[in-house]
Amino acid sequence: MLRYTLRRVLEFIPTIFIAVTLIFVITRLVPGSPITALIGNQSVDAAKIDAMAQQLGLDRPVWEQYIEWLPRVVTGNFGQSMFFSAPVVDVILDRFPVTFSLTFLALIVTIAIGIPIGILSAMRRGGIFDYFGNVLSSLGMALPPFWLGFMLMLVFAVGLQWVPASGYRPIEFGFWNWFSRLLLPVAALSVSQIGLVVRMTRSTMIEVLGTEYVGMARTKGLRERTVILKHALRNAMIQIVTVIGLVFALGLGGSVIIENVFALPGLGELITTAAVRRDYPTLEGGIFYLTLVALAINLVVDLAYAYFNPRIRYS
Amino acid sequence: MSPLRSANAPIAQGPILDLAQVEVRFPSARGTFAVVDRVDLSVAHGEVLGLVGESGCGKSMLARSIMGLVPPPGVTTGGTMLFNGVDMVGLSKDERRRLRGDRIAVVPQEPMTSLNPTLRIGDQLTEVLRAHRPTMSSDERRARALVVMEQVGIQFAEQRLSQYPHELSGGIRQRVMIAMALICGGVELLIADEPTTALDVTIQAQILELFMQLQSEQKMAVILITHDLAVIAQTAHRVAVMYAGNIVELAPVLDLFDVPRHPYTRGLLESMPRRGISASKTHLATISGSVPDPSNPPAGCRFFDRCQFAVKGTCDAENPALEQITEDRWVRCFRWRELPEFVLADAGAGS
Amino acid sequence: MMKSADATEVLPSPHARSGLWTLWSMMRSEPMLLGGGAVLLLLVLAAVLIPVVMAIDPLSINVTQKLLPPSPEHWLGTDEFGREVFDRLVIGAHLSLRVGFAATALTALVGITLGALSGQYRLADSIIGRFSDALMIFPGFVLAIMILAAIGPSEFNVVLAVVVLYVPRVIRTVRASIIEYRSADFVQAARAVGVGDMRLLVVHILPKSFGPVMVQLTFGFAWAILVEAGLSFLGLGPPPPDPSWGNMISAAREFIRTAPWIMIAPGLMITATVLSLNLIGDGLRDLLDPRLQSQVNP
Repeated sequence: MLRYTLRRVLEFIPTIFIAVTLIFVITRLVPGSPITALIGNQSVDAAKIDAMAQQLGLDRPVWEQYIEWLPRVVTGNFGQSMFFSAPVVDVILDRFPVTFSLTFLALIVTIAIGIPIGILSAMRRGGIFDYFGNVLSSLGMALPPFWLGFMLMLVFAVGLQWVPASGYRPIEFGFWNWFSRLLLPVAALSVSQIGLVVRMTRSTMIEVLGTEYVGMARTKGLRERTVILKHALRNAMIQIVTVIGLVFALGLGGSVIIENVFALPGLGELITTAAVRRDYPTLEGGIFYLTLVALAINLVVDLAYAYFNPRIRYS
Repeated sequence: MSPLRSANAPIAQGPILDLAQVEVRFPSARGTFAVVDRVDLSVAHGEVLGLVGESGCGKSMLARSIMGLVPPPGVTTGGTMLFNGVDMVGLSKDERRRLRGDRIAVVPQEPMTSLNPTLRIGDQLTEVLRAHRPTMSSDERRARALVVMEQVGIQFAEQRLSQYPHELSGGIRQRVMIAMALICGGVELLIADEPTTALDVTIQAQILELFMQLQSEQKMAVILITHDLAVIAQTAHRVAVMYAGNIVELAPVLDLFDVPRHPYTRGLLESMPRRGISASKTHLATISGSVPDPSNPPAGCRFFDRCQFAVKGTCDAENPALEQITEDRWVRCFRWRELPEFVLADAGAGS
Repeated sequence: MMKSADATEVLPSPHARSGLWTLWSMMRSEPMLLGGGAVLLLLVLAAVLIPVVMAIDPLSINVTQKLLPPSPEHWLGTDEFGREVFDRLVIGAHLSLRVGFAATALTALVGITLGALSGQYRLADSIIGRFSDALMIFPGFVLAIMILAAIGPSEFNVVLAVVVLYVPRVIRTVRASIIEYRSADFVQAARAVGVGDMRLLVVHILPKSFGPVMVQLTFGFAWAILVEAGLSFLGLGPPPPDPSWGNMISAAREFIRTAPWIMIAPGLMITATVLSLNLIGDGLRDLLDPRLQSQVNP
């Protein structure tokens, strides 16, 4: 297990390197200069533009920029935000709790609802419960999360006025102030994730229920509860754990747009506005940190998978 | 061949298992169809009954039906299943469960896939006791596990308890499965479903030997499901031959090998590799065609299409009944009296 | 009849019918495939035929008629410029289906080619493999935003972003089935009788990956429509005033309290389209291989 952990952690390093390089390559593909985006339509003389370019290091060859940029970036330093005139890291750390609250709550909701429904669907395969589970999960996966967000807002904030329509309050302002503003975004983000988790849990569980060792557990005269909880679920969970990493990555991607809908000042909102404003340091930093979180979660999930699977743990 | 079968003849008292008209049916687009079709069969105390037939003939399904574990949407319909005189069909689900693993046990074909890869061997052994002997302490369960492991010839038993299935060899895994069947100490009927097919040839012989040794020590009845007639010849007292859900022949093992009465049995014997038959000289006989689709069985004898002795008008009119021809022999064939004498081609050449 | 070993007969099935009939009876056994197919066909026909049979003008501004609720004159109401929501929806369908189809076709072309290369040649495999692994590092939607921020919002660039995101999955599928079949008996046999590498690949091996790739592309199509809608919503899709379902929703957010119908209609259209495509994917998968697990989208 120690060797496996070490290997996975070591593999993590080139992955980050590749991610960072890709971010650099893609963001510098731009035909339009970020300076034009910064100054907009104001008429500014060429000397001033050159000065700005020099300040941002945009006048030097791309490979020089890269070599200078890379060591800074892998230590997490993305420089000054063009728009906020503050270090990118500070801006991001400021935004991070919002995105974390949103995605983490959505993940908990997704697991708490999706996995039990998936398991029950598999156990009652072909029955009414399974049928409705199937229909609802298909529907959930087809609903565009941002639109669903607006519909929830329309019903629960505009219509029923149970919760505020948008905005964010840190948890220091009181639990309900924090929680009530996250309820709708979390719901909007969770629905498609739940659909996915239900289907994956169901198919995994069906596969496990069909294995010979589950059959053998029954043949041994074990109680049905023991067969399901000890023999089937244990093995299914190994696969299901891997889904959690995937759902988290999905949630991070989805949070970008949900934050925009509910005016939540999170990383996603930062990234989308930075993308529109072509604020490269902020865009690069935001994407880097989001990706880093997704990768870290995946690493944890991989290690958990190995831990639950004796074939990996003892080799 | 050296018979491994125990010398002690089956005990004469009433049968341990007595099946009458047992049927397993599955739903289809047009109603239901029988995979096991009105089977009558009994197994005496201490008897080894061989159950042979091609894959898909219903022998494994019959075993599942005896266990009460026919996979849905299949159901066991009609018939009686007396186990020690008690009809299992009338028992509740929980009463059926209590029999499984305690008084009726199974040794499966694939020890690797039948062991849970995420649980330690010790846990998988002792959980049988946990289910059937709830009063035992965990120390007692562990001690009992060590005893049976010794009994089935597993070395370093103490160590094995904390190992996972993938750390064991195929032979040891199968010994674990046998230990699992014996651990409650009260097994009266053991169903072994192709217990040696998945093993290396050298290991096969060892496991088979262990089986028969345990069988004669414990005086349990065994239903040995296999398509390997050589195994049957060495171990079984009696043989039941199944074809397309029917029992087509039932006879003491020596009689069956000497004078097979059903054309299908003859086919099976002819297709069995023997000394003196070499591929260069003679083709090993095979039975052409395949088992009929159970959802659409022919009107007449189910073997009609493939039988070289079939006669139109008789054999394809109705399915013959299982007919008692001597005190201990049954056959399901209209023409068993008229068949030519059975001589194995080239049998004498080398033996 | 008992015969010697070589006489295994293959009897023609009495139920053998024409290919079309088989296709139909297979479709009938998959109600999801049938339902999804019917809805999608309806959507495509509507998008194509309605502009032909009706006077559709998604751009005509009429300030006297703005923000009107649905009525017999304005079927789905009007937006803040007095434009017909129905008209814009129909033209938006064109865009969504066009982007989805173009992205799927391009993904298929690139994915199958690169997948075949990496299944066949070790060097290609290690290069393509690194690239697709790298692309799959990012949370999918974030990558799309990054690409569009870099190359600018346009219909073609949306297609490009979707292709970049989805192609690694197709490459993996194609590569996996090539590796699986490369050592299969029928391929060995063909190689033994002197069939060339390229012919072997194109004629014998690639067709085997057709099923799984089709299933994957169907889900990819659905996913492309969702991504296009999301990007358009963020203002990174084809720029206004041309209508897309995503930018309609975006424009309608200001009027969610006063004129919710502007937003409800395009969302329902996206849902219906994606749902029908997902159902087709499910049906295809069950038809081709019931054991294949749920496909996962990024």
